[in-house]
Order: sequence, then C-alpha cells, then structure tokens
Amino acid sequence: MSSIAGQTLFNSGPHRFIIKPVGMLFVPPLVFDPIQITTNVITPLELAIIQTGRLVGTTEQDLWNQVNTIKTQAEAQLTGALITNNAITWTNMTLLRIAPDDRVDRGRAISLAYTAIYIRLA
Amino acid sequence: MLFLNPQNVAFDALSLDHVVAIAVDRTAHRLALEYSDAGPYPTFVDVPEQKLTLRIVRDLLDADPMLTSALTPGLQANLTFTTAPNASDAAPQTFTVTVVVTALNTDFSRKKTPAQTITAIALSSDGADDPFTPPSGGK
Repeated sequence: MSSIAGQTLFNSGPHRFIIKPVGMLFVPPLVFDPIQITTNVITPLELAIIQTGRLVGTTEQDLWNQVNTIKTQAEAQLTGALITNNAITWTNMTLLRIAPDDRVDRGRAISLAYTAIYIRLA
Repeated sequence: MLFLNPQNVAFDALSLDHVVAIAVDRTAHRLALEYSDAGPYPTFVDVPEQKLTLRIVRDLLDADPMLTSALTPGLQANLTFTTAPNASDAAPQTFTVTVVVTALNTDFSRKKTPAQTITAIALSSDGADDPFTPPSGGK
C-alpha cells in the first residue's frame, strides 16, 4: 500500500518504485564547444522517483475514473510525502505525470500499465 | 480439446476426407505479468490477448486431390465438422468456427501413413466472443 500526500491513488493494482540517477548534474567534454576538454559539474540532480505498475478496474468506467483522478492530481502538482509499499518515505515529492502504456488490457480484469513520475522540486 | 474421427469436415464448400482428429489449443498470446517490491513472485497475471489454434490432422491416401487444393496460408473460411459421443450416429453435434489457415504440413515416413496437418487460428466476431464454444457435456 503506497500513498502520496496521504492519498492512495494507485492501490488498485501492483506497482513498484525506483529512484532515477542521483548525484550531480554534469556536462561531458566537447558538449559546450570543441575546446571544452573537461567535465563541467553543474548542480545536484533533482531527486526523481519512477513508479511503474498497473491500474486494475472492476469495470471500464472504474479504470478511467482512476486515470482521471490521477491526471487531475498530477495537473495540480500534488505534493507531499511519498510512502512506498515497503514503507520508505520520500518527503516533499510532487506527482507530475502518469504515462499509460500503449493499450488497455482486457482479460480477466480491465487493467492499464503505466509509469508515474515524482520529482522533488526546488 | 480433442475431437477424434470427426465427420463431414469442410472448409466452406471444400470437404476434407480422412480426418483423424481435430485439436483445439488455447494459448496466451500476451501476458500482463506484474511483480511487487515485496518479493520474487508475480502478484498479478492476466491474459489480455489469447488465441485459439486448431490442428486438423488427416491421413493422405493415394492421389489425394486435396494435396493441390486451394488450402493455403492466409485463407479465411468457415470450418465445419460433426462429432458424436460414440461411433454410432446418435446425438451428433455440428461445429462451425471461422478460421484463418496459417500452415499446412506433411508428415511422412515408411512406417506409417503419411499425414497432413492443417493449422488455423480461430477468429472472433467482435474480439470479445469466444470463437469456439462447444456445448458442455454430452447428449
């Protein structure tokens, strides 16, 4: 069971979390100009967390209601503590986007695989 | 699902003789398989795409005209056949399924009668209806 800012948006189906690269943002040699011969270190990377999973609906409408709710929250930049299924807490994360897979799956259940992105905005 | 010694087997108006068996196999064409962060086993499995494959096996006897017939991969036709619970003519059941032929294979050796296997995939009328739903139980 996971949550973002106290809301459980994705718990109709399985999902997982992983962080994107952390550390420093840098520019390799030769990117800015031909005489740039060293790596330019710019700034710490923003913390970003990728969530992959599947929304499962009892009906077609139920599935799209979930998608629309998440879309609304992403457009509103829902911000708060992201608590993963393993009870790891990432504070001050903003839900920015959900990208659905290329098709809705209609088998025993009606489901949609997705990727959601959280970023700790400055 | 296996139908032994079906009778009156035909692709549209094209009748097939000496059919030994018709096998109906159901397989997942695509799996929706998800794991969690809790451990190594799937927590969600579904089959959103599946296919129903029919194999029609028949003996090839002398100078069989069907060897050079119009049956080719890509052909769409209504496959019909009749079966009965036993070797009598009692309680026969006729099945019809729309299929597309995907392969024709010939098996031969000196030890047994040459056989032809026609492989076809069943078509659903709308994607949701099961293309092949035989009645449950016998009569």
